[in-house]
Amino acid sequence: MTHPRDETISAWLEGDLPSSERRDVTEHLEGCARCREAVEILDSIRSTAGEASPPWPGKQASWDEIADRIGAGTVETSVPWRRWPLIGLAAAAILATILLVPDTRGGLDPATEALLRADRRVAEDVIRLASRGSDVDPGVRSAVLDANREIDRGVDSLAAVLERRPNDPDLAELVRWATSHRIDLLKEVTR
Amino acid sequence: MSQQAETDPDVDVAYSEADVRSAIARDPEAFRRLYVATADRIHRLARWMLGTADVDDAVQDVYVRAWDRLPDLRDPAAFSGWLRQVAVTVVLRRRQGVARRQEREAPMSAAAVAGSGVAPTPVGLRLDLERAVARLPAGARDVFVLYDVEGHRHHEIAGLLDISPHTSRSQLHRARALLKEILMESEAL
Repeated sequence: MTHPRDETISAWLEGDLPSSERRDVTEHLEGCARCREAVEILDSIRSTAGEASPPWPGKQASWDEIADRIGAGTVETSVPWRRWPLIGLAAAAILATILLVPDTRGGLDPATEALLRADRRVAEDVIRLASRGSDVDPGVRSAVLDANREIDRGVDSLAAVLERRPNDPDLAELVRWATSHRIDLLKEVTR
Repeated sequence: MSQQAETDPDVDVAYSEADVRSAIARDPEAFRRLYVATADRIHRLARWMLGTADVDDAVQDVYVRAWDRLPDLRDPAAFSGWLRQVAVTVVLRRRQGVARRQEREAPMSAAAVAGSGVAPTPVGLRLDLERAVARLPAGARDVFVLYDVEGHRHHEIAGLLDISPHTSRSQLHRARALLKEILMESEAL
């Protein structure tokens, strides 16, 4: 057999050759010092490449740049997010849970499920539109996403209570109010 | 929901699926933890694939793009592979941009383009290997980096680079043969 090409030796190292060809190469290597040296060189290339690298010294400095670009720092915003209604929303849900109400545990009725699904879709739209690259001011984005998360917490509490009181119109109205507030957030990021 | 910590094999800092979920929900502190856990490996990938002095900028672009695209990630458990895909995409586009710019400014051979801009580093086989990798044709270089440096299987590389596993194997063996030739020429071995 003539000397196998380096590509063939590399394939032999990886077990990528058909069995008959593999046998031929193995037999050749047993009798050829030059090709055994090629095996050592290719193997050292493979093993050196796979060695762990030292830590990246610029990691922290680069994070500062990244944080700046994604608006991850502490950002003061002058947008007057009317947080007191959100507190009221959460408080109403908490109050409802301590009322003596029949434990129906019948799950959500279709109308309530539809209401919550619609709210979920708007919540996802807020995240999607607020997260658009450079279209949204980082300060506005941060404030909008924070407010959206607060509304999530309130709606989650309401959903838990609605499972026990599925037809409660006041609770359903609170969900509608939460959704309308999310729509206000959408307007802020789509101006 | 799994709370088991995930660890990038090359770093000691762990991150959890909860961190990924929080980052998807736009928590920048959670995203910072993901960055700390994964940035060394992404930097290594970018350095080997780009072979230029713009690596730090490229890595920043990777994470900014990852932050923008995080809402698209449906399965937090897939974060590591997803991030690698983002990194490969960003790095390949950046390299295409560099090549187009260099062609406009001073047309060169492919080998010269691949070998330009490698920053000086300490001596040793690893350095010689990095410099040699920078001189490989793009396809061979990408497969070599993803297989021998990053440890991916051929079917994963096929998905990352949009090639067949057979092509991935061929490119790998071609890359190693070329590297041997380059290193022997420079008498590094």
